[in-house]
Amino acid sequence: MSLPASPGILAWGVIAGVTTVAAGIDPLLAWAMCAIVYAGSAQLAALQMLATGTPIAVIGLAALIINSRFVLFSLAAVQQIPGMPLRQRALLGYLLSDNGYGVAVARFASRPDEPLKASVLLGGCVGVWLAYQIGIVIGVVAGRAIPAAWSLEFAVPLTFLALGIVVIRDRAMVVAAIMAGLVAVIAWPLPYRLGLVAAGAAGIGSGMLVDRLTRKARTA
Amino acid sequence: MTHDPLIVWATIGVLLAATILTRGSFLLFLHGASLPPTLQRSLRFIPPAIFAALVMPELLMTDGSLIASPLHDKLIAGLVAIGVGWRTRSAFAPIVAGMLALHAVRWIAPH
Repeated sequence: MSLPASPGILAWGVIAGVTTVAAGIDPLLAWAMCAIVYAGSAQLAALQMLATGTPIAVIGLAALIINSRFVLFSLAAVQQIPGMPLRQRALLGYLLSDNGYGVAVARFASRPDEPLKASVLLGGCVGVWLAYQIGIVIGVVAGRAIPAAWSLEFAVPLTFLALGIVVIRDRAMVVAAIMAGLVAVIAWPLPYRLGLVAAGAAGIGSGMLVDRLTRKARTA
Repeated sequence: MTHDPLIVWATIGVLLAATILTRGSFLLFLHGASLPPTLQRSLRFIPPAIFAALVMPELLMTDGSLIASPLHDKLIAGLVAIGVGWRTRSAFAPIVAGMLALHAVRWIAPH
């Protein structure tokens, strides 16, 4: 199960709930948004954009870019667990999350001789989903009671930071993160969050380059 | 400030679509398809790149311009969180450490 990750997910759910209410969304609607979308990073970025009057289509594009990491998890799940029936794939197609995937991979890494089972991945993802659902209810209810001086909104970038560090395994990934971060700052003035596209491309490109160079150095 | 519920529902709609399209990509829509090895290797750089791109402007900028002083509360809190995250490999500890550092800096050097 996903118990080790649960306090973090619960807190993340609370943050998502509080931030959504703070963004000026009616509590009931805020709860529905968190519960249905089930992608906190994309949702919180979308709320920022909504506040500045960004067109819906642009918000959707930004969400696709922010969620693009799920494509990696989706592919990894299919590769590590071949032959899943449609109902399991459909469930994972909605529930697969950073942490659910992380828990399954950590288990896979510690016991590589045991192939990853669908039940383990699904169990992890359902556990994460439950913790998040509890968290958003607390967050939406507590939302207005939390003093602004606590600056709880700063927990949002801190969560991204934590998730970003956890996935880093080698030097090429460090370079990818640094380059993407720098380009995101430099390209900030670009309209429609195009900076995010530029940053993603710069990060992936530089990571691939370092990867190729280290591979060459190893074989030479 | 409140938003028009219709616009919020439209946003929920596009966000839900973006969630399902990406999570379901290989599980549902491209099931059985495979990616060329180079493209597959490039996928692992997406999470660190995207998260860094979301975080760095928050730590280094206020109101769309670079921060003026290296003693900025968010920058210091971010550096503390990076250090704690690197040491603990936890997805939770850096959030707590970063929030504590933010308030510690504000308490020591209010601006």
